[in-house]
Amino acid sequence: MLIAIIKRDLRCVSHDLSGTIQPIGFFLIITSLFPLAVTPDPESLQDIAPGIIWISALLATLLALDTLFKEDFIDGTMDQMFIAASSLYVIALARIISHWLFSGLPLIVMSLVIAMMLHIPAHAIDALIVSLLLGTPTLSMVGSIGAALTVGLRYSGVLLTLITLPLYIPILIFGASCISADLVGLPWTGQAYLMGAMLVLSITLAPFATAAALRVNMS
Amino acid sequence: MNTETKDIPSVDTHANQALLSVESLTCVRSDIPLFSNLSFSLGKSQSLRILGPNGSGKTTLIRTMAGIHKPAMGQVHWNIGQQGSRGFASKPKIAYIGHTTGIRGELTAIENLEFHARINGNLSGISPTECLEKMNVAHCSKLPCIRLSAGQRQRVALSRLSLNQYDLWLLDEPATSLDDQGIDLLLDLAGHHLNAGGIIIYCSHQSIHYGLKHDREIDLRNFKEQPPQC
Repeated sequence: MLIAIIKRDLRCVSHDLSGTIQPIGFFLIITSLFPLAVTPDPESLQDIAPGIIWISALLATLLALDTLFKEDFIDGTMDQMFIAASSLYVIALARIISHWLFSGLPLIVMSLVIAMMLHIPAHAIDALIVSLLLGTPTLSMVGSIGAALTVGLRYSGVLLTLITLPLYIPILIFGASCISADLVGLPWTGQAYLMGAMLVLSITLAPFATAAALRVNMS
Repeated sequence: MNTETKDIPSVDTHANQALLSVESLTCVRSDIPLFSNLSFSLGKSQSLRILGPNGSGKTTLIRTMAGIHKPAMGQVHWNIGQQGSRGFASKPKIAYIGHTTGIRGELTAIENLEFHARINGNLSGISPTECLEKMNVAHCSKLPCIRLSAGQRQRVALSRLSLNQYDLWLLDEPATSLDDQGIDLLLDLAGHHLNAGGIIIYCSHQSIHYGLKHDREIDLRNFKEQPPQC
């Protein structure tokens, strides 16, 4: 069931790229506007780079959240999957995994290019990758709860943001501070461990909460 | 088709032990009681037609049978233990055709059916192409479903019924946007399903014209609770 849903999502993406390109394009646009608007000076850019990358990653994830369950909900696929599986947990988990595969993972790859543009030195790349690898799945996990709660609304964007953003703040703080610490040569393992803990916590609990929220919206 | 049950609709015949029984079901939507104390039972090869005006709860009843809605009271009970011959696993296999087709627009008809076969565990061994041929839509199997007409999409959705040996078909206005040929094909499939021992529960406003056989009828107006007088 889990693999069947992810395979289907992969097929959907291969037929219609627009949904996947949107958040990644958004990520590229925001990050490339900062040097133009603030300063092209390498020193100052380096200082604000962790913040820029993490804010953009967070907003790009939010953008992709809106359609996480909505399409399946509107076209009736959710009913069919629920009857077949009678477990919303598996459906929620599968959709979260594909959300990360098609928005989080490309974002991490893109961040390498952005890092060059923002003059992040090579020695801080590992902190950048690790923080995004630990952080973006957490964003997908936590965000899925908000997406499931607002799935029945036609225009859920603002409400979804209001529900999800407060929960994103810790990930944003530790994610950005991971990279900042490495930039100035301080150890960043503490932040990384905390982010790992948040990821484990969200993997354990978020699919249950998401499944419960979907159940409320279905009946 | 068992004609005996048509003559005495309220009593189960010995030959046809109840496979599915619904006991004093009460459903409420948005705080409005739709029907209450609805009970019926169906055995192998039986079909039930749900009647009632718009808003009387036909869709809600069908979705409750599918397990999507939770009833306010009562329960849907499956007599699974006794049905060795149909090879039940742990739960009944239900096919549901609702107002929304469950067809993904980006995917082709074949890919849609493959997905449904995969999530349901395709047991009958019929390939998606054969299922599409049964509803005569195999010629557009390579097109993304969003390019198909509403009737063709409905046919693709109905092709799902042949994917598996389902125990129960729940059809909510299955003839929507189907042409006469489509309706005939659907009736054929339904006949085969009933002959193979399956159950059908359906509601349709058009059925008077095309006459899908039914052993029983339930009119939801008879189960509507009168609102309390203030």
